[in-house]
Amino acid sequence: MSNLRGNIDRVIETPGYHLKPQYDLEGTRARLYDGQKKNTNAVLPLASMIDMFSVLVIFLILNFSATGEVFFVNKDIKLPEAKNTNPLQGFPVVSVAKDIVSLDAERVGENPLSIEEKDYNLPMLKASLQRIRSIEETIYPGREFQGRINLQADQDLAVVYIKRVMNTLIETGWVNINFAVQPIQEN
Amino acid sequence: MAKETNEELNLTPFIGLFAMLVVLLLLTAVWNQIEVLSTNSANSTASNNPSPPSEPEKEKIDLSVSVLEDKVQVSLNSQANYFPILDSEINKDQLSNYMKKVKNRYPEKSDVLLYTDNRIPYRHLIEVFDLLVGVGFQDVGVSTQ
Repeated sequence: MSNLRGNIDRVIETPGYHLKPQYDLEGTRARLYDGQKKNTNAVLPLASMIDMFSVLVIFLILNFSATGEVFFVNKDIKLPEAKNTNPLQGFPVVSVAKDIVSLDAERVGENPLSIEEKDYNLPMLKASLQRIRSIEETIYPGREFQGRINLQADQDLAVVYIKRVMNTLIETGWVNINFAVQPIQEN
Repeated sequence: MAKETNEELNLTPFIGLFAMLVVLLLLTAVWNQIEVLSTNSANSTASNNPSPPSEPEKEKIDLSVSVLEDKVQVSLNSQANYFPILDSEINKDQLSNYMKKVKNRYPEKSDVLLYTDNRIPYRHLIEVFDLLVGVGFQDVGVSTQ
């Protein structure tokens, strides 16, 4: 539709800025209407941050273990895998690596035993186990000694080394031996 | 005229709470899941301490599994079955099927003694141990002889 009205040849135009050019404050007008300068009152969008924290908290709660076990896995030990496992409990830990036997991360003896040797004597380990047993019996005087212990060993280690440690454990009364394993996740 | 009310929820305490929770959970998280296979102590020492003849009327079932370098031997009442180990891998399906048959035949039998050759890797012991527990023999004793 045309903007022209009436008989006089003139053009009725949409009114523009009403200030006279000599009073026009271009800078002020630009600031007010052009939107070049933004509002300086910035607000941090916290809702997304809360969402992120919520997801993180849910993930961590799902992976949380309330049993509070502390289990030192020797860096040289790769645990074997198993399906039909029980939860780990906080008992003393005997670790059998390729060249070392340790009790609760404390080094108790080398492991240079030849497979052909029949000597199962581990005097340092035996002494440490007896010490822990006597401490346990002192703490719980009326209770029968349960002798529960965790044993972790490298999956490729010859069984003779594990048998040697097990013999020492049984000799000192630690008869409830739990083999630490990596559980296989079933789908 | 009603005053304009500020209805924005104050999120700062929520952030503080979540931040503390995240730190606490991260510090107590267990990243490396480890579980155990438990031996039966009475059965482990069975070779040294023979069980008392408390129930003579029941049929005595001698069941033992021996893991050797090249085969797994299952001895049931002096009858032996062999399962070869090829390329250092135990044929778990065959062994599992046979042990299931034994379990079905003697459902009350839950103890088994596990013998191992000194040279075999530890993982073979655990694999057979795990298989026996999975089949239903809950009381697995490991011989240290």
